[in-house]
Amino acid sequence: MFDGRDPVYLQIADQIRQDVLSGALAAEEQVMSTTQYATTFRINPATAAKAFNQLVDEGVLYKRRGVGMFVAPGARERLVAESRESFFTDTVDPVAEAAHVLNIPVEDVVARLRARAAHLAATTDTTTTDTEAAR
Amino acid sequence: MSTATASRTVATGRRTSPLTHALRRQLGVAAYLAGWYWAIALVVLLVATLIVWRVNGAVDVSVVAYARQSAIWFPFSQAILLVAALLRPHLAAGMTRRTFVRASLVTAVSTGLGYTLVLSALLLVERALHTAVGWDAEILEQGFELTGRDFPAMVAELGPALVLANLCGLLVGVVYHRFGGWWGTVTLPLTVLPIVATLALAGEWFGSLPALDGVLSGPADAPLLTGAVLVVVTAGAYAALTRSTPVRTPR
Amino acid sequence: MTATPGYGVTLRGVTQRFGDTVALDGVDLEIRPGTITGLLGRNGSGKTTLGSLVAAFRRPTSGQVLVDGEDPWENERTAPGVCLVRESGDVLDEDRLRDNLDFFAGARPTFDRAFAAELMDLFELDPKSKPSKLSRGKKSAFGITIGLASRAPLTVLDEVHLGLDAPSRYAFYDALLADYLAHPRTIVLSSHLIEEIERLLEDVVVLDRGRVLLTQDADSLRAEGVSVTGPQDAVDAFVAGRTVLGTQRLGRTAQVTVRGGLTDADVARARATGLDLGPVPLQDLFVHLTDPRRRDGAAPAHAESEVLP
Repeated sequence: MFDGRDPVYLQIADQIRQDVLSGALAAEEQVMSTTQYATTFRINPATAAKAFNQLVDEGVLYKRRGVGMFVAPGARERLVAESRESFFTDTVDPVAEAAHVLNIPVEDVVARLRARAAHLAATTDTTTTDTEAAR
Repeated sequence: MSTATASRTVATGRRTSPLTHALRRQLGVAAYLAGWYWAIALVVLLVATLIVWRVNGAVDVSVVAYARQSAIWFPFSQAILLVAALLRPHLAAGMTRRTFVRASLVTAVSTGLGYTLVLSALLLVERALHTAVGWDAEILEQGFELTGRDFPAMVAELGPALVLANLCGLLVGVVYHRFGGWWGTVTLPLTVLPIVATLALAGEWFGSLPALDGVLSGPADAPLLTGAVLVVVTAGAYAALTRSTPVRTPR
Repeated sequence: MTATPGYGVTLRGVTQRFGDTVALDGVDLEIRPGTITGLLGRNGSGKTTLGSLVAAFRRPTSGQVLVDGEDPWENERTAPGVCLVRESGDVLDEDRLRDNLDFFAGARPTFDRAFAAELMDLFELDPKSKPSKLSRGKKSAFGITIGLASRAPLTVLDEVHLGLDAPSRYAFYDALLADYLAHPRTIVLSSHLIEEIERLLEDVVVLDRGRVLLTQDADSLRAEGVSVTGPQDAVDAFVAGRTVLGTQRLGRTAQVTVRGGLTDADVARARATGLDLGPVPLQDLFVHLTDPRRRDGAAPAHAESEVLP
């Protein structure tokens, strides 16, 4: 699972961010300890600890002394806001570039996006309303 | 290292000292081998005595006296093996060369003295047996000065050679460990010299040489003194070589 | 006694000669206490010699070796706390494994007999068998059992896992990590096979022909290797001025491994020119760095060495 270009701890941090974003980890929920992380994924505990420390610095997680790490209140909203900023540069632009190379008309891409969005709205409308409510 | 909370890896104290631990191991092996050696030796001595008796009608020669050579060379090879088998594991177990040298010297000297006591006692028992059965009252204990003498005199005569046999074994063992098979073999005349010299001085091999007459007819404690000097020199050479030896990879 | 868990190691200008051979050549090195450090190098690079010096199996020809701040040679304080396990296995060959455990446990105050029994079960070792009768794999497993159960503040495992089959190796990694977490200490894993152990490592020391090629924390080292793939011209332009570790060409496509982290601007520039950036596993980075055709660790920017995948 950790085989991107980034060092392992960045990938661990990314994965926890994704879990918070998707709602798999709720606010005030306890996350796995560095020890559990290290043994489960067979990695050095210092590497796992670096990932957690980075997330604490970013305000995604916070420490409770002697208890463990928890998802910070409002972490998800902050991550959503950040992800929105980078969404167009990181996700949409490469689509536009690829479509250009393949000679796919922009209208077709837009049509596809509309169809997908309608499908998602029909199946998982709760998460989107949550996001709207939080804003 | 935020996960490093409590350390239980730091030594808190030990139940036994390394020297005690090493001694227990080495003396244990020596005692085990001594048990086997003397059990077999007793049977052989008994059988030999019976055979000579059946053939000659009487036994006028000490059979036990012949056991002396084997009581020298068996512990000698045992001491070689002690270094060969135990030095590497000893150091790998986190003990020092200093500890090994001390434990092995105590083991070698104890083994030598132990064998001396048993051998002397056996000579006395044999002599008592001869008297009781009515064989020749004065049995011939070949190559020994101790015929007709008492227990302390026997111990004083046998002791140096038997202790040196063990020490020479250690010396040979460490030379083999440190310099390898070729040098170990080439230097054998030197490393076995102390025990050979002691036997020679005791008249065992060159007793008839006129040159040695002066030494042999000297005061009774002369071989004991020479033996003591040789013990110190051999032990010193062994200790010096062992204290500075690297651990060789086997084969 | 130290406050940190485990003993640290310092080498200053350490040289070890064997006759005409120089096994270690003026090595300066620091192993941080409490880390799992990988000691990586090709065969004959000096890994085993380094382990022998740290464990006082021998004395260096020149230079200074310090374990927990002291010379380990004949040191009664540090000796029980340093455990070197070599592949040759320094055990009582003719004693039963059970008796071997008694011997090693009695010499080390930190030894855990119960943990040793667990490991014996894990590796399916029969306490009644003798080391001289064991297969290579079982011998390695017994060495590991002694090494881990000793719980020494400094444990050096020299290529011990190479003889194990794959399931036993993974069992070893799990046992090592779990026990390290429960009992933090310094563990040095020496190996020329890096792929399987790299995630266990916090620090990495790479030896090459008796010298220290690099010493670094594993995460930052991992971030340093980047493979750049794309049209030859674009790749050449992108890697100009960088440290090139290896080049492969297939038709007009080139794949170049470079060392040195990339900035966000670099990544954007690569994407704009149609280049693919990929990770370089530590194993590959290690192979590139210790390639005998790369002299003294600094190849020219356009080294045309064909690197085997």
